[in-house]
Amino acid sequence: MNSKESIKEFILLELINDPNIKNLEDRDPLIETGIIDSLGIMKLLAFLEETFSIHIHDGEIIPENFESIEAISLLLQNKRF
Amino acid sequence: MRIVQFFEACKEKRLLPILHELIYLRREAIPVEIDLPISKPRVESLTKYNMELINISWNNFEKLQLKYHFKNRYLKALNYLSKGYEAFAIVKGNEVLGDVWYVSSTKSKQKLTHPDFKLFGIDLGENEVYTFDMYVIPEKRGTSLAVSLFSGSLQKLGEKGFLKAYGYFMADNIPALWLHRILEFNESKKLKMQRFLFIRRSKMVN
Repeated sequence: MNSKESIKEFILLELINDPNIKNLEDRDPLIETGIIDSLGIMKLLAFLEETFSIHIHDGEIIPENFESIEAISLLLQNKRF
Repeated sequence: MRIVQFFEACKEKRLLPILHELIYLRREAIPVEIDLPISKPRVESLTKYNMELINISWNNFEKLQLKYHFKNRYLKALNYLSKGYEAFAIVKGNEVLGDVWYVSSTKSKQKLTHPDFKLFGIDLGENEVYTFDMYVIPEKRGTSLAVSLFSGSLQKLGEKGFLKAYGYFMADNIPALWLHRILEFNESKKLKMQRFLFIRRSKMVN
């Protein structure tokens, strides 16, 4: 499973957890829709740091980096290379 | 008030987070400000959940007959109101689900102050307001209630004629950091913070 797929699965299962929502597109908004709220961001950061063995510092926790699956994936890529 | 908070924390098994807020040596605070009215309010419809955003002041507190989940929040409210501070709260019936406090000097006869002003070098001007001590009950965390509460309160402060709101968040408090960033607060330079119970100190980060 690539990183985008694994982020998508985490968001669907842990942050949305609604059986009616079965899929998310890479560019679907995650902040305006309330999917990543103040508690959601904590869960997501813990997941990203543990799964991808990275550390996201407070300067990187900005809406632009978490507005969609694509943005999160880009943040990951920049952290790894 | 602190003793009640201590016993409630023991009962709820939340003692460590409380101690983390009362005793620390090396944390960082980020002072923030935002122009009012805010450009991107994020208030969900509260009425469809039978909730509303109300203003709490010394004048209406007794009449509102509010119910607080924790006694220490009620005691805090009494303490803040006695100092002339006011709050916005999201309530369902008369049950308080979350509140955020503010202080201004414009609307009162005497010059109001707050201990944070000295720490963060804030000198409130005309039509400026300082927001602090936002709280949402544990059962409502993760429901976007915090965003509706803070965003709605800033909107109401703008409607009251305030032009700027100040505040701060601790850099390691991710929910608070996220809330201020999605509402697009401007951040000032970080300050190093030390606290031992009631004694707090701040220092600029080099």
